[in-house]
Order: sequence, then C-alpha cells, then structure tokens
Amino acid sequence: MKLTVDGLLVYFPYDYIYPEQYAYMLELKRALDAKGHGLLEMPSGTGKTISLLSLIVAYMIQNPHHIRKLIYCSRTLPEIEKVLEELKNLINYYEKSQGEKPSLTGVVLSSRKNLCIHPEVSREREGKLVDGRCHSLTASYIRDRHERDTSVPVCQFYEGFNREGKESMLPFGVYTMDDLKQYGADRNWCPYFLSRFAIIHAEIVVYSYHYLLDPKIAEVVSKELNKEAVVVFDEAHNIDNVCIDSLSVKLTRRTIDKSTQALQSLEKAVTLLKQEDAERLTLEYEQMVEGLREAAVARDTDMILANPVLPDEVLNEVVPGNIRNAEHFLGFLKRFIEYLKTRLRIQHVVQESPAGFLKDVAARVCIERKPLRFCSSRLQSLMRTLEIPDPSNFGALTLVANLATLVSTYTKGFVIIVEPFDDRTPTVSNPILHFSCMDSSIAMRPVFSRFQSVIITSGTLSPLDMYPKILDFNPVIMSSFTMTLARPCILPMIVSKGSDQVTISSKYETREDVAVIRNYGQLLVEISACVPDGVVCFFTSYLYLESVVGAWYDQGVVASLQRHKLLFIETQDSAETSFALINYIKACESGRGAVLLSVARGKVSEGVDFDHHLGRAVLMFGIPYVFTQSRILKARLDYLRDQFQIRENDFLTFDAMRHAAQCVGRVLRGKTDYGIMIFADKRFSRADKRTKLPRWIQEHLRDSLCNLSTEEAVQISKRWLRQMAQPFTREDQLGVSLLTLAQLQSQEQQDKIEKQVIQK
Amino acid sequence: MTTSSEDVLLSVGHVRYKKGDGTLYVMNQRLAWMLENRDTVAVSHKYADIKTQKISPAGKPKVQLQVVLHDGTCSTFQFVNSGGPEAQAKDRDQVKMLLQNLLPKFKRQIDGELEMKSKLLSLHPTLKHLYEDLVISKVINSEEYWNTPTLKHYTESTSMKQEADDDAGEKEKDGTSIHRSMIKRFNQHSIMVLKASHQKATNSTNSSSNSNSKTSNNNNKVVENGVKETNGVEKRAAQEKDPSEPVDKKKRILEKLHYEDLDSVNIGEDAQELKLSKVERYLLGPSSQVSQACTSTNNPPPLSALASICQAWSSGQQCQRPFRVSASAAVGALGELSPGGALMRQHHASCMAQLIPTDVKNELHRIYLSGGELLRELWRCFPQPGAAAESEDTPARAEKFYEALLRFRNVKLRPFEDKMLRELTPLASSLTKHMNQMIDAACAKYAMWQQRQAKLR
Repeated sequence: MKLTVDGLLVYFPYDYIYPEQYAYMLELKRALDAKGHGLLEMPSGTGKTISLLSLIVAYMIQNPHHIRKLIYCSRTLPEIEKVLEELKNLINYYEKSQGEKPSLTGVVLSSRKNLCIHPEVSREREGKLVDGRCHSLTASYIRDRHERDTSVPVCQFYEGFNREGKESMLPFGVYTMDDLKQYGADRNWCPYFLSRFAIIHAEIVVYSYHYLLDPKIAEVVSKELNKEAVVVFDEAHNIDNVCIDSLSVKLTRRTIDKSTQALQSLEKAVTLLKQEDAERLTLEYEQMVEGLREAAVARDTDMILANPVLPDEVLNEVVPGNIRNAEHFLGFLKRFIEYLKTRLRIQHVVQESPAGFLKDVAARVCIERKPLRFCSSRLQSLMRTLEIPDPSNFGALTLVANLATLVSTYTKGFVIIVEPFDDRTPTVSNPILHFSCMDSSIAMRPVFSRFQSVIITSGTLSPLDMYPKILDFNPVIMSSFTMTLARPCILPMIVSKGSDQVTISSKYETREDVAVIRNYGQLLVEISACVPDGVVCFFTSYLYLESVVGAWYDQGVVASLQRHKLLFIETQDSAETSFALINYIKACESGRGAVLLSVARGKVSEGVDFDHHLGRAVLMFGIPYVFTQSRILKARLDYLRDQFQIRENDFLTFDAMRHAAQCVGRVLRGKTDYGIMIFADKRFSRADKRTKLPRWIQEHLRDSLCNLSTEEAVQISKRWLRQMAQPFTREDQLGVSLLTLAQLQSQEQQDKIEKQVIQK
Repeated sequence: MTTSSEDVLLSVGHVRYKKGDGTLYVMNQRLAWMLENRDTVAVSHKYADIKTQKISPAGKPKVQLQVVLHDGTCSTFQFVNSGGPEAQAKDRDQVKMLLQNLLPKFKRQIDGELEMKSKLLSLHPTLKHLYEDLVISKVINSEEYWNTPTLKHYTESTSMKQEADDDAGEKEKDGTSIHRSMIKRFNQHSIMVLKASHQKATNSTNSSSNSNSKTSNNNNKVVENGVKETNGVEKRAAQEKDPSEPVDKKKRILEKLHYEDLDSVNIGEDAQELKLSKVERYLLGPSSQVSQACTSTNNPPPLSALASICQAWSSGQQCQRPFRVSASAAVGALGELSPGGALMRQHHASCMAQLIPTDVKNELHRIYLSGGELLRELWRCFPQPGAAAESEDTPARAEKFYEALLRFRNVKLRPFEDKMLRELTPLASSLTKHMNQMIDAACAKYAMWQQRQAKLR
C-alpha cells in the first residue's frame, strides 16, 4: 500500500499495516525532520525493520539533499540477512508499482570470511585466518613484489577488482552477500573489496555494529562515509556493552609471551632489512619527520570519522623523536612489555586510574606519555615498512600497542584492574590486566556528532530514559510503542510463592533453600503438564542452573518433568548447546514437547526465537542481576554514579530487567503467536522492577496477575490457553490490530494512533 | 644410583636428615639426600610422589623443610649451615622455591591422569567390574585396559540411572562437575528418546500406508503435525554445515520475514494439511511413549548407550574403519543374535531368566561384559575385507588378546562353570554355552588367520 505519513508518501510492501507501524513511522519522521537522534522501542514481531526501511527509503527518495545515506547496523549475521531480504522486498515493491527500479543501491558489508570467493582462502574456517591469508595475497608490497617476480602469489579476484572494479559503480539494486559473491564471481572481482568500495557510494549500507563502533575497524572501513546520513542501530538493547567492549583491552600472561615473540621476530626483520635495504628504513624515518600531514588534511575536510584511538594530537603532531627510529621503537616496546610483565607479577588485586598507571610507567621504566600515545600508529607503520606478510601473527603485539595508545589517550572513563587470579579459582595463578572502559559514550560520541540522525531501536529498551544518560546524547524523540492486539496473546504473570506459600525468590539468602528450589521445580512441572509443545526456562546464572538441576534430580522433579516433556539443558559448550537446541526444536515439531533450561545472558537468551509452538511459555527463575562481585562492574558503577548521577541500584535493576525482558520476549514473535511469560520471583512485583518492563509487557501485567501462587498461575494459564486455542482469523484482527489503507486513513483511527504514541 | 642423565639443579650441603649430616640434591626428576662421604643415596623422592612441602616457621630455632608424600609418610630435612640461622634460612628457601616451581608440573601430570581414571571407575560400576575381572585377575595389564577405545564411550553414555545414583554419593566432593556431566546425560537421554520415537514413527507409517511414508521419508522438509521446520537455530546450524545451499537458506529467511497477516493472500487456502506421523500418539497423548522409555532403562546395559556407541563408531569418531552398515541396522542385528533374539531361539531366554538367582545373573552379566570386551578387541585385530594392509603390530596385538581370552576362560569362565555345576545343575552348561560358542568361534577365526598369515610369509 502507499500511505502518507505526515505528508510523506511511503511505499509499504504489504496490503495491511499494523497501527503501531504507522505510529512508529510518524515518530521516526519527526526525528529525521529535526535532524536529531531518536530512541524507539517497539516489540519484536510488529515489523520494526520494514517500517524503518519503508520510511527512510521514502524520505531519501523525496528529500535527496536532506538525507543521502542510510547506514543500518545490526548485531548478528542472520539479522543482517533478514534486513537485506526486507529491503529487497521493498525495492521490488517500488519497481512493481513504479515500473522501474528506484535509483538506489543497497549493499552489505561483512567480514572477509563471509565474502571471500578465493578457492583456497575461503576454505579457512576461522575469520582471523582468512584475514591473514587475504592480507598475504593483497598487501601493496606483496603486489609490488609480484610485479618484479611473478612467482609471488597474488589474488586474482583482488587484481581483477583493482584493474576494473573501481571504474564503475554497482548498478542500482540490493546486494546481499550471495548477490555480491555472484556479482564478483561473474566479473572476477573480489566481493569483499568491492563491498568496501561500494559502501562509500551506496545509498543504503547494512553492516555490523563493529564497523562503526569499534574505532579500530571504523578507522579502516567507515571513515569516508557521508555525513548526511541516518544511522540505525537495530536490536540495540546491549549497545552500551558493545561500546565498552570495543574500547577495553584484556592482557594475560599468554598475551605478553606472544607479544614478546612477535617483538623478537620484528627485531630480526629489522636487522635483516638493515643489511639488505637500509634505505627503506631511512625513508620511513623521514616520513615520520614529515609528520602525518596527510591525515591532518583529511581531518580538516571532515572526511574522517573522529576516531577515539587516533586522537587529534596524533594527527597534528609528528611522531616523537625517540620512537622514530625503528630500533629505538622496538626497544621502547620491549621496555613497555617488560613493565607489563612486572605488573602481572602480583599477589593481590590492584586497581588504578590511567593517570596513576602512566606515572608508574614513567617512574619505573622512564616511558613518557607522549611516545606511548603513538605506539599503535607507529607499530602499523613499522609493519608496513617491514612488509610483514601475515599480520595475524602479531595480534598480541598489536593489542599491547593499542593498550599503550589507549591508556595514554584517555585519563577519564577508564580503569586499570590487575587481578592475580580468577575469583572462582583462587588457588591457580592466572594474572589478568584489564584495561576497562567504563563510559559507553566514548565510543558513541563520534557517531552521534558526525551523523545527522542516529536511531536506536529494539524490542526491549525499557526503561528508555537510561540510554540517553549512559550514551550521553540528547534524543529529539523517545517513544515506546505497544502491540495492538485483537486478543490478549501474551500472559505475563508474577509468581511469588509456591503452593506451600513459601516465598520464591532467587535472592542470595534463599536461592539455595530447598523449599525455594522445590517450588521452582513444582512450578515448572505443573506448567509443563498444562502447556503444549515447548517451554523455555531461564536461570540467573549457569552455576545456579547446575545446582538447581542437581537438587531437582534428588527431589524427583526431573523424573516427573520427563513424564510430560523431554528435557534439554544449555551447557557452557556452545556446540553442545546448539545440538541440544536442534533437538529441542525437533521435539517440539514432532509434537513430543520439550523443556529447555537455559541461562539469562547466555547464548539462548539472545538471538534465538521461540516463536509459536517452540515456546508457549517462558519462565524466568529469579531476577538476572549481573555478577555484582566483579571489580570491573564495581568500577563502572562508581563511575556512573560520579559522572552521570546514576545510582548503583538503578543501573543494576535496569540491567537485570532489560535482560529479563529479553528472555521473556523470546516467546512472542508476531501477532498470530501467543505465549505465557512467568516471572518467578517475589521481587518482580515491586514497583521499581515492574515499571521497568517494556510497556507492551506491562500493559498486560495487571495487578491481578502479580503475586500469584503456583496453583493460581496454573489455573489462569489453563483458562487462557483454552481461549488461545480458539480459531483466530484475519477478520478478528481487522480494524483493531490490522488496518487496511482505508481504515488507516479514517479520522478515528488517526486520532487513536496519535494517542498511542506516548512520549517519555 | 643417580644416573648420568639426571641434572642436579641444586645441591645444598650441611643438611641433616635423621641425625646424619649430608647433602641435599634437587634434581629434575626427584629430590635426593646423600650422607656425607658416601656414594649411595639415602633418601630419594620422585616429585610425582610428593604431595606437598612444609617449612618451619620463621623464628623457630631449627630451620627445617619437610616433604609429605602421597602415601602419608614424610621426610624432614634440617638445614645446619654453620653460617648461622640466616644462611640456613637462605639455603632452605632456595630449595623451597625450586620445589615450589617443580612440584606442580609433576603433580598435574600424574594426578590428573590417576584422578581421571579412578573417578571413571568409581562413576561407572560396569567399568569397575571390568577392571576387576580383567586387570586385577591379570588377564590383561592395566595399560592395555586403558587403551581399549570402548572406555572413552562409557564416560559419555552409560545409563543415566546408574550414574545419577553414584552422583548422589559424590556430590559433596565436587558438586558442579558432577552436575555438569549429569546435564550432559539429560540432554543425551532426551536425544535418544527422541531418536527412538522418530524411528518408531517412521516404521509405523511405513507399514500403515504408503502414501504417508513418502512424505515422511522425504527427509529434508519433513512436515510433521502440520508444522514446517523453520527456525533461526536450525538455520544457523545448517549454515555452518554447508554454505552451498543458499536456496534453502534464503527460503528460511523469507519464511522468517513473512508476516502472514500483513499479506492479502488468504491463508486458509494454502494451509498445511495435518499430517500425523504417529496417529495413536495424537489420540492417546505422549504418556505411552514415556512408560516404554522408562522400562527399557531398567535393563542394563541400556540400549541408548549401545546406540550411541554404534553411532560414534559409524561416524568414525574412534577408528577410521570404512563405513559398512548403518548403526541402526547393526544394533538390530546384534539384537537378533543375542540370546532371546530371533536367530537364537533355542535358548528360551525368558524362562531361564526366572530360574536363575540374581547373584548368578549378576555374575554372568559381568562375565559377558568382560568376555565381550576381550572378544571385541580380538575381532578388531582381524583385518577387514578390502581394508588397507594392517599395521605392523596387529599380529602381536591379536596374539596378546588371544592369549588374554584363553586366560580369561581359565581364570574366570571355568571356575564359574564349576560353581554352576555344583549349585545349579540343570542349567549349568546351558548358561555358559553361548559364551563358549563365542570364544570358540573367535579362537577358530584366530587359528585360521594364523594359518593364512603363515602361508603369506
């Protein structure tokens, strides 16, 4: 259908539309009009992606000078593929109704591993290996060498692309990974470099968060992207953690050993080069003296995305004298690594600020802050000069150099923690140095400041007001949408006591209590007796899962559970978990029915959908608080309190509730679906927890459904399931949760939708 | 006693042991002490034998170092350097530091292995019986025992019930690792039940109607109970396995994206027809299935274990034997060839089972287990038709197991038969008849093989 959203003609590739999709587009358009950032929550299964794509594409076509580019970031490969298919669908619809393709190019960028078509390299299983082998065939000096000596292997696809590919642009259309591979194979072009090249010109780019958020990758990939762009972060409920991870470094003794080895081989290479071709080193030295002027020019013209790892100072100043010479630099690195080694030789935990660390480095091994800051770029330059064929062997050394640069660049928002052993195994010496980012806004800031509109969206972003605080930005819109439903297809319940009236809660004092564990077991058994097909349970931690299962075995819960359904359990081994999951699905499909026990924050809780019969009930056993004894977390909490005035408890609850919402949200993937959500912990019924659930869940969580006992919950479930089992047709939905164009345009419906958009 | 290959890492003079002064040597394999002006080592402890070391607290008049061995005995060395307590403490600390570095290396190596083995034995009563029968009665030595590949399977797949019972006893010691293995077994069990029910389902549809069987055999896109197999997980797993199926992958993505209610196509028309792979299950519910599964687990060794072993074999996890028959066919054949099976009718196993007292039954069971292991190992040694030439040590290995089998017959089987003659006269010979047949068959095969080998040479 073609609809108008606030004066904008939007092509929507379906005949019907959900009211909330329309409302979502309305809000989104406001953000684009205002050239500002936005925060939007809408439950999964309501067609978020297609709404986003339809509106932004329409906006781009009609206001080409206002928005030139859409950068769509998602988290996982399957998600990215889904987005591309939806985009294709949309573009096809345009073509069908207009008779010609819109002049838009949509392209995906993924890792070499996913895009490589080289017959040998692509056979490697590990991403790192593919990168390394690709580099050894495509690096500039390898190709130079090939010029002189044709026996040096190069990649035919890269050569082909380099010869011809840069002349032309991709024809209009949408290119998925398979399309790119096909396109590349037809022309003998490398799909990866084709896509790297294409994203600069393409109107729509779909790729992973890391290409934008991780400064190390963003520097390479995304620096030349257009400023007049909309950036969408989909499934963004964990975006703060992605930001933090991309700026944090963890060093173990192994890393140090490996970087020492790498350093030694660099030293050898330098000596060798000195004997053979001293000129090249001199040339490099002179370039250093010249300074990184080129980069500075690029920064001035606003071509480069501000990069936290490559601070302005690095661009404006020349490399300090004492590390310009290759040998001096290696000696410098050696001293730094030795220093790190001494830091790892400890018996007790040390926590300090980057400033304290720098001071200690200066005092003990006479390393100043300034040269330290240039470590990362200096190492890159040296590796280029030495023509290292496969830089993947130097990962550990690069990590150390990154640490050096980061620690000397940031004095605020970071913490250094050195732990002599893992807390779980205090007898085994296993020292780790964490250089941990505590401020997720650092990685986000360049994105917010560079791009015109940044939209952060997910099915579960509640409580919305936390994200602007921790990401430090000022959204122009901030809305949460619910799911309009013709029938109450979710049943959230808070079970706070067992049938013996003993309170159930996973709080520390009672979690190992036999009565609590038995009540959890009984709840699960009774639910699995009355709910058809699949039932999924989430525990707060793997350790807790293990001990509960152990206790259940002794109490006979497992046996009575197996009387109703097959039992599958997530383990810490991911291959084993995948296998269990596949069989869980098989068991559900065959009508046998199954129970899956898994862990919040685990593999299953993110990214695996339990739609329809794969999950008719989800149970959340306890509140999934993060492991609060972690020192990194404590440091972050302190930082959030001091810098952003976020109380420790607020953050912990926020974090726990978003994970709980993620877990239970797995059960519903669309309006024709239905599922039970059970929060089995007394504490869920407290206002501070309940109000932090997404609005689309809260809406159905009436007071009468809080504070239930096991029996009450089972009775309510039975009644509700009977209701859900009745035939459900389109006619039931039409006009309420599903609209035709005519219905959408009616004044009554418009008013209703306007009211539905509740701004926070 | 010291061999030249041993390096002395440190030697400290003026060390007193049991009132004699001498020199303490820290070598790379052991700790040794020699009395002054003697050539023989009076004390020698391998590091692997040493459990811990202890030192006297600072400030005590005597500066001592004590090593405690795994068997509980300990040796105490006193440092009596004439340089005074400080020099003595220095000597002692040198030794201590060195030991501190050395001991953990040996500890892990030995302990890890031993602990693993003893845990395995304590966890699996069948293995323990096997160990007692074969190793302790000296039919084979322990190294051979631990090298038989079957053992590895036992760690994964013996019956749930048996082990979970053991778990209860061991729980206090290391709860989590037990839970971990228990969890693995729960998963394993469920998968087996699922597989078994699937197999039965296909069988029953095959026999009941031809048209139905076609749909369910058309494996890739099984449509069962009206549900299509679509899911993110499936998809990801499939992706990992073969990326060469973009068409299938795409179809799944599209299905995922499809909002049935947003499209105008009438869903009623192309709705899936309800196809039941097992009608009685639909009508009666899954309960009958469960009771079957339960009764079968009472009977050791469980079929599930066997099936998983067979599966591991056929998937080539253990040995690179060419694939011959499917696991299920092999299990089926095995069943028919076992007492009570279709091909072994004359034994009337059912009535015999009631006549035999339980202790005899258990003993017989153990004999079958141990004998079966040996037989299997022996048969493994024979070359397979069409297989590549056997390795050098195969004849030696075969001979070893052949002799082990004969020993087993003498040490275990004969005494059992004698006992049966005394106690259970009517049944005595028939009880071990099958076992004897199997041993005879193996021996005959061995003799023939020997002959052929001789001819070839």
